[in-house]
Amino acid sequence: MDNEKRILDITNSLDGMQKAAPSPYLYSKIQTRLKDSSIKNAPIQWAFASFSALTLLLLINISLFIYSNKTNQESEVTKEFISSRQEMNSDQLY
Amino acid sequence: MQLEETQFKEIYTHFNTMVYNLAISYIQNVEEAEEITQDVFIQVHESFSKFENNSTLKTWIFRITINKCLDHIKAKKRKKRMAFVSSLFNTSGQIIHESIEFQHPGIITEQKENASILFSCIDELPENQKTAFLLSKVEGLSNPEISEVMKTSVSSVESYIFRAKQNLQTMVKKKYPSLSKKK
Repeated sequence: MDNEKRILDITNSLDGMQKAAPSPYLYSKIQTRLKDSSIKNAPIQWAFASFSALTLLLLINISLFIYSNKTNQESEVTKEFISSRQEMNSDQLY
Repeated sequence: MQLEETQFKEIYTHFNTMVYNLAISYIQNVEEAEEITQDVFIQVHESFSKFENNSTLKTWIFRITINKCLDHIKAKKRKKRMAFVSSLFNTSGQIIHESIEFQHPGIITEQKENASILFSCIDELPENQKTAFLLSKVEGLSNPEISEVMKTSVSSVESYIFRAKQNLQTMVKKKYPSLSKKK
């Protein structure tokens, strides 16, 4: 019976527990950490901006390269077509 | 919505004791509980714009605190495992030893011994049971409030608390068989 009571006492030992207070300097520590993190975040934002600019530049380059390749191919096809037409015309002359 | 300094200070003043007490009961270490309290308020400051009004500020802060505590416990376990592994290969490697007895600063003197036994058992409870039990016993939250924090149903919370109490009784009996000899 005593044993049961002791176990019950242990499981109920948190009853009437008082609140513990954190250190009075905790708020200033948090403020310092917040200031530090805002200083650290600034270069990250710059890095992100420069990375985006570089990606954009690369995309423009790639699209220009693809476009110029396409126009080259098209002009070659046109040249071939013109020369074949010329050949046909010369055949007709003779 | 960005949090202004006066608003942040108000939130800190209102909730710092609550966060610290939950962290101290969860982690069972005074210094680490202060670190977690710092982490929680930094997260509150940084993520306040993401806070949605479908839960109360109190519930939201409780949820952050529990997540921070769980992350801390996981990191600590990982560290312990690493220290153990390195101690196998390196003779100078030391295994991290934990203090066995935790004394909660808010416990009244005559209950210190009993509370210390109880806290060692609470530490071994499954995650959900531990969370529900501490929110109920330490923070005095109602079951609907706990269900909101834990994002579960009220009946699940009731079950977690019931099972936590049962497990604690079993653990106390198992861990301290000497109790049966005491009068």
